[in-house]
Amino acid sequence: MTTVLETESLRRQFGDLVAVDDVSVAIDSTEITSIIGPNGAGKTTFYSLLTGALEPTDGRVFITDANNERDELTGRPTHEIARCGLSRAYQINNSFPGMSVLDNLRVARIAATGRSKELRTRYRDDTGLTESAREVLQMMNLMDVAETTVSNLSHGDKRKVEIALSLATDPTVVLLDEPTAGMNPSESADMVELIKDIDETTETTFVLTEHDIDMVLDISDRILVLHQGRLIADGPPATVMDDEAVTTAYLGEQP
Amino acid sequence: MSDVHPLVERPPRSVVAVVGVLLVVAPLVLPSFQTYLLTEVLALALFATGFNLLYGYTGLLSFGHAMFFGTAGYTVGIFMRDVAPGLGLGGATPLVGFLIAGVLGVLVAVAVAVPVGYLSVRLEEIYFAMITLSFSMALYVLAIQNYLGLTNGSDGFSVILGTATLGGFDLALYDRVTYYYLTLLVVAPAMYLLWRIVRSPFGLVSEAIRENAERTGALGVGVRTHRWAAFVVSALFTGVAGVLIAPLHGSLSPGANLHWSISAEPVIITVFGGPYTFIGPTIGAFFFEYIRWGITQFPVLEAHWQLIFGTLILGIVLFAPRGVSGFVSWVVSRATGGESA
Amino acid sequence: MTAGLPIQEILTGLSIGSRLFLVALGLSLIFGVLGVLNFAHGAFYMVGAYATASIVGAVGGNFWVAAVGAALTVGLLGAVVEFGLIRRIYDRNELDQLILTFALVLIISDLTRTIWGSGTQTVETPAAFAGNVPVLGVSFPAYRLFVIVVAFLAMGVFWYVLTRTYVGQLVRATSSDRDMAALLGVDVPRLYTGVFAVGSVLAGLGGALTTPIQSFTPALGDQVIINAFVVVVIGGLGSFTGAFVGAMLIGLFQSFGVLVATGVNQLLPFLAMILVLIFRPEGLFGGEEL
Repeated sequence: MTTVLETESLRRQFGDLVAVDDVSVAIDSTEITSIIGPNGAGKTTFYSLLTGALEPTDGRVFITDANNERDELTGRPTHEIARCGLSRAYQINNSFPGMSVLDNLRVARIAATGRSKELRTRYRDDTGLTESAREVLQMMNLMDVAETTVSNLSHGDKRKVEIALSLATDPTVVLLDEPTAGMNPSESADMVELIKDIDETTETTFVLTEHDIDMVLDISDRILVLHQGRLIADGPPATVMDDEAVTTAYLGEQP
Repeated sequence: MSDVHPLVERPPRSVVAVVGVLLVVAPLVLPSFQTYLLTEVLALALFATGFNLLYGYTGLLSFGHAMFFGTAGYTVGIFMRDVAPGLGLGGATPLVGFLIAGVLGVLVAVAVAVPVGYLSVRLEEIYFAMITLSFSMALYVLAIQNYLGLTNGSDGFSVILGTATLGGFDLALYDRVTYYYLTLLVVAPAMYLLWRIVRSPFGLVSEAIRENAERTGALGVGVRTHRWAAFVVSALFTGVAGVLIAPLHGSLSPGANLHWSISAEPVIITVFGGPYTFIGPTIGAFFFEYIRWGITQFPVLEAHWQLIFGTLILGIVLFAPRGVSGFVSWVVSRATGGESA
Repeated sequence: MTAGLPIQEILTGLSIGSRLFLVALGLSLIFGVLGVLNFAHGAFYMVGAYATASIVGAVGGNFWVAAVGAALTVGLLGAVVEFGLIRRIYDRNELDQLILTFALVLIISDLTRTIWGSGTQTVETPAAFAGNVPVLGVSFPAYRLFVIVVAFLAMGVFWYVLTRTYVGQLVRATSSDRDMAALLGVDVPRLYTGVFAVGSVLAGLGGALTTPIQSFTPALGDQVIINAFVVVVIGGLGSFTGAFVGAMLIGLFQSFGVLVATGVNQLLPFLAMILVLIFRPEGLFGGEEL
C-alpha cells in the first residue's frame, strides 16, 4: 500500500458542534476511495479541511507526492496546498463562467506550471499551453465545446468542466465532491466510465463523495463511512456494506 | 470575456493601422483647440485603460485612482517648479527636465501604490472601493493643507513647459501640436504594453480572479499577491496619464487632481465604453471628452452637464451594462450571425 | 472649559455627530436590508435642506412644519427612486449599484441647482430654541442641544421598533434572508420600498435639521456622503449601534481635530476609516445583527 494522502486525528469544531471528529485515514494511491455517509455526516467539511478552506481545530494532514516526499498540509493556505498536489472538484459548479472552456483550462495550466506572473508571452498564441489545455479537454470529451462560454453550457458539460479544472493541474490526489450531482442516469454512467478511464491512464489518485450507492459500489476499491463527523467504517465495499454500524447510521437503530 | 465578438476584442491590424495613421495626421488638419482635446482624449484613454486593468480585468473597483493620477502630476509640477530650473543642461533643460520629472512622477505613483495596494487588496468589493477612496481623500486633504509646503494648498500652482533648444532647433513644448505628438509618443507604447499585459498569462489569471477568486486560489494561484501586482501595474499607467495631463492643463490643484470626483472619471469613462473589452475605456474616453466639449458649445446644456452625464450613465447601467463596446459587439454579432452573449 | 473636561468641544462634537447620525442611520438601514450602498444619500440630505428652506417661506416661518414636510418629501423621492430604478438592479453586482446611485447624485445635484440656484441658503433658527442655554457648566446653543436630543431619541425609537415590534421583526428577517422571508409570505418588494423610503426620510430629516446650524450650497450633498460613508464603515455597514457610535466619533474628531491643527479634523475621519478597514473591516459593530 502506498499512502498518498493521510490525516491524523483530524478534528473541526464550530462552537459546540463537532463537524469532523478525530478522523484518521490513509488513502492508498492504487485505489479509488469513496466517502459516504448520511447528510450532515461531515464529508464536505472534511474536504474543506484537507484543501485548506477551513482550518482544523486539531489534527494533521499529509500528502506524499510521486517522488515519495511527504509534505505536511495542516494550516497552510489553499493555494499552497493546491501546489502540493491536492486538488478538488466542487459539488456546485465553481468554474469561470464568463470565459470559454478552453480559457478555463488555460488558467488551470498556467497555475499548474507556475506561470501566473508571466507578462511576456501571449496565452492565445502559446502552442504548448494551448496543447496541454486541449489534452485535458480531450480526456473529458469536451473538445466540441472548447470555445463555448461556460455559462452557456448544459449542466452535464458544466460538471465536466468542473472536473476538468480539478484534473488540469496534474494533481497527485483529486477530491471529487458528488461528481454526478444533477446528472441523469446516462450522463452519470458516462462520468463513471470517464473516472475509471482517467484513473487507469494517469497517476492521479481519486477520492470521491457520493450519494448514489450503486455508483459507489461500482467504482470504489475502498469505502470510508462518516457519521456525525466520525469514521465508522473503512474497508472494501463488501465488508463495509455488511457492517452493522453502517446500516444503523443510515437507517437508524434497528429494534 | 469570451462572448465579446472577436472583431471588437481584437480589432484587425488594418483597423489599428488606419486609426494610427489618423492619429498621426490629425493635428495637421485640426484646429488648435481640437488638437488640445485630442491630446486630452489620449491621456484619458490611458487613465481609463490603466484603471480598467484593475476593474474590468481583475474585478476590483477602485474609487481612489486620483491618488496615482494626482501624485504623479504634482511630482511633475513640483519638479518643474523647484528642481528643473537648476538643472543646468542648457537648451535641453525643458525637455530633459520634463522627461526626468515624468519618470519621477510615475515612480512616485508606484511608490504610493505599493503600500496602499498591500493594505487594500485584503478587502473586496465595497470595502476595497471604500479604502481606496479613503487613501485618496487623505492625500487630497494633505494637499489642501499644503503639507510640507509643496502643494500651495487649494489654490494649487501652474505647470509650464518651456522651449527646448536642441542643436539650434527650437521645440516649444507648450505648443499644442508639439505636446500632442509628445503625448502620442508616450500613450501609444503604453497602450501597447497594456495590451500585451492583458493577453499574457498574468492577464488571463487576472480575469480568472475576477470570475472566481476562490477557484483561482484553489488552482494554486496566490490571489492576494496577484491582485497587489495588478494594483501596482494599474497605478503605474495611471501615473503616466497624470504626468501627461499636468502640463496639458497647465496647472495643478487638489480639486482637479486628487479629489474623488477625479477618481470618478475613469469609472464613468469605463462604464461608457464598456469594461469588458480592451478598447472599451478608449471608446469611453472619446465619448466622454467630446460629449463634454459638445455640451460647452451650448450654454443651456453646459449648465446641466451633470444632468446629461448622470442620465447617460443611468441609461447605460440600466440598458447597456456592457457599455458602448458591448453594444457594438452585440450588433456585430447579430450582423454576422455569429455566437452572441 | 470646566474642571479639565472640554464640555464645549464634546457637545459640539455630539451635535455634529447627531446630524451625521440621521443620514448614516438611513444609509446603514438601506444597506443592511436591501444590500445597496446608496451613493445618493448625501444628495437626499441636501434635498431635505433645500426643501426646508422653501417650505419655511411658504408656511410663514414655521420651521417644524417645514422640517417634517421636507423629510416626507425626501421620503417620497426615495420611494420613487427605489420603485423606478433601484428595483431593477437588485440582482446586479454591488459595483453596478454604486455606479447607478452615483449617476443619481449627478442628476439630483443638477436639479437642485436648477430649482434653487447655486447661491448660499440659510434658514433661521426656530424661535423656540433660539439662543443659548447653560449645560454642564457651559453656554451652548439650545438648538444644537435639541438636535442631539433628536438623535438619541431616533436611536431609541429605532431600537425599539426593530427589536420589539412585528414590523421590526419582518425587517430583520428580510435583511438576513430575503428568499426565506418571501417564502414565508413577506411582501419583499413592498418592504424594500418602505425601508428605502424610511431611510430617505431620515436623510431628509437630517438635512432639514441642519439648516439652522449651517448655511449650505449644492455642494452639501458631496460633503455629507463622504462623511456618511466614513461613519457607516467605521460603525459597521448595517449596524445601527455602529452608525450611532461612528457618527458621534466622527463628530468628536471634527470638533477636537480643529484644536490640534487645521486640517486634522478633515484627515482624521479618513485615517480612522483606513484603520478600521485594515484591522476590523466589518466595522466596530459589524457582524452583530443590526
